[in-house]
Amino acid sequence: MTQSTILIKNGKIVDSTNRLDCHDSIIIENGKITIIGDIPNTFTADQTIDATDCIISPGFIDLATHLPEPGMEQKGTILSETRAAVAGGFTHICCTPDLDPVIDTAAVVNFIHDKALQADSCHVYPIGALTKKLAGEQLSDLFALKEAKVIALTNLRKPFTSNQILHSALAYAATHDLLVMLHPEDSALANQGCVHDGKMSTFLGLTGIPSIAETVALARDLILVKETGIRAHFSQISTARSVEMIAQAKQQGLPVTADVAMQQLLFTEEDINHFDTNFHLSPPVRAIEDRDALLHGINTGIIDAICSNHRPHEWSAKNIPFAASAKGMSTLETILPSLVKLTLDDKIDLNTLLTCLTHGPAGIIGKTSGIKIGNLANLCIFNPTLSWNYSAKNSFSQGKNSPFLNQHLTGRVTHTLVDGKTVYAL
Amino acid sequence: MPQNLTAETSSLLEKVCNDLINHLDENQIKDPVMVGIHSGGVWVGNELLPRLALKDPLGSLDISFYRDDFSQTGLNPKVKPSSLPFTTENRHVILVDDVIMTGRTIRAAMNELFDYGRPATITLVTLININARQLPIQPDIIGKTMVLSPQERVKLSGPNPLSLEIIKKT
Amino acid sequence: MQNAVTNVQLNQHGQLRHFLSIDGLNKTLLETLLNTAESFIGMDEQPIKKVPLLRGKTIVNLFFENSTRTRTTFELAAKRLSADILNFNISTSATTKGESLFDTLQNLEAMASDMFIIRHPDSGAAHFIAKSVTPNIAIINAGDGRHAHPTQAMLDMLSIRRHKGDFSKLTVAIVGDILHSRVARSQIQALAMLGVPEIRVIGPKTLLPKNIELLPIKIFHQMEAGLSDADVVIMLRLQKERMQLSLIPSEHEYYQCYGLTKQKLAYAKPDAIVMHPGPINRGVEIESSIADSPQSMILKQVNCSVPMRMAILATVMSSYSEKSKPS
Repeated sequence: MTQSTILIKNGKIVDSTNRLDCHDSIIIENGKITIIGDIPNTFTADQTIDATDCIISPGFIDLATHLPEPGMEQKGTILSETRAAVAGGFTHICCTPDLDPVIDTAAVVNFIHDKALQADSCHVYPIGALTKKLAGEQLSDLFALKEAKVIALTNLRKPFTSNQILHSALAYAATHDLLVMLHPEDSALANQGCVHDGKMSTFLGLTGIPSIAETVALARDLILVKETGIRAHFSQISTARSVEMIAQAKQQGLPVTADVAMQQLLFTEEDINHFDTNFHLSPPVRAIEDRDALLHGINTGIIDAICSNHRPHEWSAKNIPFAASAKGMSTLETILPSLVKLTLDDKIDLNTLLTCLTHGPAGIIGKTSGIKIGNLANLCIFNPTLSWNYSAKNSFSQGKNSPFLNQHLTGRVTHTLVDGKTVYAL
Repeated sequence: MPQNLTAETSSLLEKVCNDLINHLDENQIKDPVMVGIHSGGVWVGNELLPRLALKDPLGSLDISFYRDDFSQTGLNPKVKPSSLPFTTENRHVILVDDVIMTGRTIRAAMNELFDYGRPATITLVTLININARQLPIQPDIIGKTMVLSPQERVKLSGPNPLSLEIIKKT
Repeated sequence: MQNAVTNVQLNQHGQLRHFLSIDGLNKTLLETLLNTAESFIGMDEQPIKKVPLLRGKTIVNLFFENSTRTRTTFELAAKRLSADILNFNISTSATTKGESLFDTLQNLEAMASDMFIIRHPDSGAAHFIAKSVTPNIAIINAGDGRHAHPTQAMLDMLSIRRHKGDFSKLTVAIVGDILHSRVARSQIQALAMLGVPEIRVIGPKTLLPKNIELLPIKIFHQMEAGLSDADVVIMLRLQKERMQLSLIPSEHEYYQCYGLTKQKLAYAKPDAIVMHPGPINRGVEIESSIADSPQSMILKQVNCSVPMRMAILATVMSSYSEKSKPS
């Protein structure tokens, strides 16, 4: 039940797009923000949230969550992972199409919408598959998917059987004014690798994915974007050269945006020591120079958003030798504290960070967000200095595949409000 | 204060040598070979060998691989290869060590000796005998029997000069 | 990445509790292993080739990849130390279908074994197993994917030391497919740790790892320059798969450029020794007459393999003695 009035007081509102950086109270009535400012002491609300020491931000929006349902419920469900999302401050998540069945029909889109409604945590926006079964051969019924309200289309890192198919997919998507999310990777150059082709691949004898696997594909994709006029978003770029190429494309006025996954900002190949399968990731974490260039990309606005690339796995998927283990990290619940660490280390400032988690992704998927009178109250309230221990017990995601497990973290989400309803409270 | 027995060491060697010659005579042991146990036994063997005028050079055994206390103490990192520069099959072997105490070292040494062949006889010679046997093994020739308190140990240092010391454990 | 795996391999006294890779060990440890192996070498000439050191211990040869030679030398090494040895050949296809590697291990642990000797096609498998099994089981890496083959590297070090003596005066050239070779990786680390001042690798760019400048080596693409004045020439095995990925055009062309012929060997020092981890492809990596020449260590390497592996098994088991237990 949505409570009719909620008062949030004593917090600091930070919303750079709406030019808010102030200690003010917020009143939410029937789901919408109605007052921002001083509230008379006499005001009584049905629910009061004391946000002392906390920051009130627009809710976080994730451009790439791997929900394991349908098809891989041993890894997690829409229920478990949306709960993890709201515990991490996310009010909207875009889920990737690599499910079983693949999101290539309206039926799967509807299934996910229904399940998300039942779960009643955050908004879930399915991303459709650009080609049937993501096989790269035949286009999905893109208009039908659009009608079923997919937020975008992608083929993830699955290769197209030819450049002709890719070209055609982009041109057809442009016809229907669809957003395409491209994950640039040349699969032959990637050579079924499992780590960055660099220092650690040499030391550990693991097959490397060279940086050129990404940049060669990115160069081709940029040419096709220009050719077809598609609205393209580049997902999870991982190399320094990619940042330069996106910057150039933007300078030339191409309609492109880009995001980076939190793993690429936090870790490098050096973290793969001891064959820790938590760092078996796609894309791989690369060299220190790449990580620094990606941070530079965030700080200069070349990169528009930070995504979670959240991928929960069951214990047995990660407890096997490195190359055979499943790719991905469970991240939704630790994004905030791990990125807050970057602000403390002066790698990135808090405003930029929050923009990359809120307005940045919102702009890419064409949604409005923000703390503004009349908007639905999608909010994340977090205490940036609260210290806590992330553990299997207090995590909501079914996937415990995180290097942060049993680590002390600083910064924790205390409340998440979706459409004016408190869906998570610490 | 360690008790130094350097002066006594050479007279002990003398005694052992004479007793050994008599023993070989009495038992009609001809053309024996001599094997010292690493490291004290090799030093003593090197002193005895010229006095007995044996044809073959001294053999040396490192019994590290034959010890029965591997599960307790592990492998001695300073293990040296054993060297028996003669065949022991059907030969009379004089086995030499500096000190016999529990008898376990001699047990290990005899096991190792048998892996090289089947000797005709083994004569055991030790400079010092400490009666703390844990196995039914007795030397044929003894320089001196000593009684030590539980805190005391006897140690041979060498090879030049050979010198016996009694060390008190603190 | 020095010391990347130290805490997995060594106990609190710095003793070897697992033998997973050369990386993370130290010169003293390697020298102790070589000395211990030296002590075992004479055993071949004894009528009874056995010592009672590991009597009562159970060792499991756990091979997820076929290798008769490596398996039998470990088996012989264990038997000469009087340990009981069990052989398991497990095809990885079976494990991926049914029970996981973890479950396989749990079953074997139940047999109260003291040591697993692991050969596995995945890099890092031995580390994974060392981290997964109960702490009283020692793990020996008998080759994991492209990562490491430390026992092979150590027996090569023993061959080199027996024939060339002092490591600190040597120039060693490793020829061929460094990129895909677990042997080369371990050899380079061992040579560097033992103080070899000049380690060279010779091969086409497609068979050398990237970032190789991080290793203590010099890179050559031509045999003439690379072999010049070398004391030791190590030839690596060329796998047929390399042609499929177009890393080299053909065996014929490979032999032309990187095959060891009498003519090319003449660039090295006259008393240079030639090594090869075997099995050799005559006429692809090495000219037949060199393989059979007195300069070739290929058979002598095999003679070092049992004593070296005995030394490794004994040294590792030694760290599980009462004296080494944490107080």
